[in-house]
Amino acid sequence: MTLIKNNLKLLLRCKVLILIVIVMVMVTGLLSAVFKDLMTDSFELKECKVGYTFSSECKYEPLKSVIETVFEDNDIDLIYYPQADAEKLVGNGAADVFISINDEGCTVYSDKEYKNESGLVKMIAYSIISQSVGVQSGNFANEYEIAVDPMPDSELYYTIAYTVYFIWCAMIVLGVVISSERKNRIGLRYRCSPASSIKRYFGYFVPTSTVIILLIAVSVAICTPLYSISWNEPLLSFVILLLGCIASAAVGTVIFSLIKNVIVSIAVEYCLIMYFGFFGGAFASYMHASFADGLRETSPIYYMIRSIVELNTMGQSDYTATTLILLCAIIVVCIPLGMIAVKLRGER
Amino acid sequence: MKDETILEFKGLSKKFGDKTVVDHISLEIKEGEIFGLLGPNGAGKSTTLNMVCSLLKPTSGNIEIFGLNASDNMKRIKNQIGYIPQELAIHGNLKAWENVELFTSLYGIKGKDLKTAIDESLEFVGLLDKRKDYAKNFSGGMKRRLNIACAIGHKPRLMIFDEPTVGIDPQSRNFILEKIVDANKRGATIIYTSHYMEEVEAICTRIAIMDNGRIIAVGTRDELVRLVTDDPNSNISLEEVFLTLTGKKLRDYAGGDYL
Repeated sequence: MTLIKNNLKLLLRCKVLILIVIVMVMVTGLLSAVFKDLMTDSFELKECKVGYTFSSECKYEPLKSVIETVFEDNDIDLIYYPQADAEKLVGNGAADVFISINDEGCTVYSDKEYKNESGLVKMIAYSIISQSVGVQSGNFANEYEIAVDPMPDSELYYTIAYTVYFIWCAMIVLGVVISSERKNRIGLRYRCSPASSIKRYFGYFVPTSTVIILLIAVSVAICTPLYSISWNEPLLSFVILLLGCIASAAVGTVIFSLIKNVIVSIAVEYCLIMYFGFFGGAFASYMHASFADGLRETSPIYYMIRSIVELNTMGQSDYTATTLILLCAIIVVCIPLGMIAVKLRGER
Repeated sequence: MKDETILEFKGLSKKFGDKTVVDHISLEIKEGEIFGLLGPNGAGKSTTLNMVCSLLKPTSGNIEIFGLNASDNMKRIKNQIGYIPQELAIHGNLKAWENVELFTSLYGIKGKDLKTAIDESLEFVGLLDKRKDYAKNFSGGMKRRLNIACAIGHKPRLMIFDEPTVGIDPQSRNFILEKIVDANKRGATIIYTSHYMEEVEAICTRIAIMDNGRIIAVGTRDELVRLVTDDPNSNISLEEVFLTLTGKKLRDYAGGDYL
């Protein structure tokens, strides 16, 4: 306990921690402002004029009243055009989105500006058509809503993304203790003492975890009111963040113990975190990622961001269990690895 | 001084690659001694002490400490050794008492015993009134004293001082020498290495002279003098003894540190 306590004091007396919190809060604010337009363009639905028509003798024409009702229930006003040239109507602005329904399904025309809206219209139309058999047999549910997933705003997304990203960045705080030990040749004292490598390992791991948790807690406490973040699923979100802090400390301890040079350790950690962050959605959101799914799935940051974002926008996430299992696995694997690395370092 | 052997080397050697740094040395140190290990840089003093503290493994030979084989009983042995390294080994960003607490706790001392040990160690080196000051704000001499305090909290039977007075002012040096004698009077056996002949002459009950990894002479100051002169009234200094035995001046090796 004394080793843990004194290493914790060494960490807490490092003024760089204050800088880390300030940078975390500032970068979150900066990026949420920078990417606000991108996020808004992608997810906000604008008011628009939606026209529609049926091809001649279309088998879905009897659904006309159902279609209008369903769209109305979803706050979309439809304008019926008995005969229309869709491209012309969209081109001259008479309709922002136009849907042409035929026996094979439907075709949606829209201006580039109304990409999101046309997607929603298409989704609703297909949902109605897919239930058309039920309508024809008189079983069509007249009142139903299309479930459209709510999307995060840029403040929520980047607060979560940067909280997660900085959890992993914060593993470098262990460098404070390690560099003080190396600079002051403290290793001599450890090696002369009967203290076990397990005791020494926890002397690194516990203070690092504690400091990362503190840093993240302070940062979240500042960002939440500052950027008006509402945590809809705070308990699960904070459990994921907490496990992330512990996993980050476990990974950091392994790297610092395996690599002799502190600067090289920090460089390796930086590369790892950049990789995790880049593919995990810490810079461009995972919704806009243009790289292969396989790449982003190699990043624990991706799972953490996605599950917390979805928990706080949709109320649930299919990624929660995977994220919790992944973080626990990282911790379970890295703790014994770290013990071995500390032992090897002592012997070196 | 008691008759019990506290430390014994039997044919101890250490090689780094092809280079033999400690060459088949055998030596006995009795409980209650202040034993001086004298020799130029590269003589093998620190390597020998590192093997005693299990910082290095011997290439061959055997070390017995407190009657126990060192390679089989290192944990038990480590509990009774206090190693004061040549380099300062303290955290500048911890207060004096926190440094002592940290390093004393490595020996399994807890609670009230730990608090008592901290106060006693700091009092012993005259830093009790500075206990709440950060080590980084200490002068060179105070840091050296704190360096000692960090190694004695667990009340070791055997204290190993590896050139503890390098680079400090004469007052601090005298203070440290007094404290070494004091610790010896309280029952600790001391192994002391230094470049400074007069320090070794002043405090050591027996002295070993090392050169090129070998012990070339062992004995009290008078016994060593008798190795080079038969004159009982001779005023020959230890440095002259060293020069005669090794053909070298110690100061040639000690750089600017020798005073």
